[in-house]
Amino acid sequence: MALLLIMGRNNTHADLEKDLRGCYKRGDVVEVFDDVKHDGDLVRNPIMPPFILVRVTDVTKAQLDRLISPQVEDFFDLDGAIRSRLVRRRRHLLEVDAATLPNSIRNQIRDNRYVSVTWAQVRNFLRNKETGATEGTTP
Amino acid sequence: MFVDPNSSAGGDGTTDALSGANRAFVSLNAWEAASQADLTGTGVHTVTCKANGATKVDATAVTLTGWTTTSSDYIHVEVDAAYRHAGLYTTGKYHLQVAVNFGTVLTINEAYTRLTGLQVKNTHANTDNTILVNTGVASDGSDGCLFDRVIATHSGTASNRVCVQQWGSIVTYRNCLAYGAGGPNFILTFAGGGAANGTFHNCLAAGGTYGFRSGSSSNVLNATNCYAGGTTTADFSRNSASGSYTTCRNEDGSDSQTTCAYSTSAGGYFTNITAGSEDFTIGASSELINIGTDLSGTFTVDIAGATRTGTWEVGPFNFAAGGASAFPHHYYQMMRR
Repeated sequence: MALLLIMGRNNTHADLEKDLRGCYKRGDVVEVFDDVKHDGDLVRNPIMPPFILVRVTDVTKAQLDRLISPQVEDFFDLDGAIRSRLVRRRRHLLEVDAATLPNSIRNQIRDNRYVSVTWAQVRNFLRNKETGATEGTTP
Repeated sequence: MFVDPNSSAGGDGTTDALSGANRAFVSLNAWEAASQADLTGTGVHTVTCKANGATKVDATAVTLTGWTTTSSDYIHVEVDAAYRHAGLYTTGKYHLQVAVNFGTVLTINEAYTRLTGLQVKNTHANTDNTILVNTGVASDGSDGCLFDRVIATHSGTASNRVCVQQWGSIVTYRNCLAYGAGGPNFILTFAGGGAANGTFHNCLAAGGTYGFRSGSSSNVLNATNCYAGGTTTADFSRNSASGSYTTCRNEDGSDSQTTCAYSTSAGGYFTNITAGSEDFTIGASSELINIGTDLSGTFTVDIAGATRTGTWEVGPFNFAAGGASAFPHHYYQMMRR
């Protein structure tokens, strides 16, 4: 099992470029953990804003670690050297506001900021911002 | 705000508790995501890292960006004294250690950021930097970032693996250690039209290609009471950058500095210089003792937090008069476990 720590709000910055490149946005996959990082006891350890926690029951952390990769681009600086710079904090997001997200999942996110799902239930809502593609049947 | 890898995911980080709604953030990365803000007029935003349990490692790379900071409203990442290294990289205390392919463990894009007591390691052979500072030039030209008692090390053996890379930016390094990289340990890079300005006080760099290196003559590199040794190209390489060396020593005499052997039985009389087991505490015969410049107007402690006494030493470790280290060697060994 793996846990996805999801950003539940849009962080903002007055500088629009910095806002786009540097600020986490709702749905961004902030971090991936082994499931030992939360035992599911929401009374003892509720999930607090700005986060949403998604437990994916049939995959491993190692399979999902790539979801926290930033979106970057290469460019030539004034010295002619190739550098990388941030385009978005995360390449992947979970579409927590998608109209097609099943009500049962939507309601759990709304009420508890926590939901436990299978890969099949969530993969079509994990989108690569760069390509627009969602995840396949195997992570 | 508090971070503790022994906490569980989803806390709000307002206390150092390990359970409950107000439990600590589970990682520095989670803190950064939750805390991005315009700090103007709000004072210093401090996050305190602890490791109050069996888990000592924070294992996710962090980028500080998307904030607004000023010279009086800045980010301060500190490790609580009880969970902080004592001058040796140790997995028994809070440490940020990540293996990320072609990335950086800690990237700092916000001017004025301060780090205190952090130890950071990159364990991937293909990863570029352990720490990257890319803040641009502080807008008001003031003191920029400050790294105090920071240890940066790297497992990558290729010559472009770097412990601390400073792209442009203004950074003061105080009692910092960088070693183990295949490439430069501290390197200042002229980037995007911005010169890097690095000031090093009582820092030590060992191994790799360079100890303290400027990649461009446009940069500024000032070093006081610093030591470098064990490099394959040059211990000091200012590369025509402006700046100066004051009471510094190195092994190879590069940049016309006085030599001091990188050895456990001569010169520096370091405790251990074996790769992977480095211990840069100095013995009573060390040539680095009592030759430094007094910087007590700026800071008064060494890398372990011990008050510097008498004439200052070169390097991050104080050596108390009377032949005993201010922190006895067995203490360092204990802290390392």
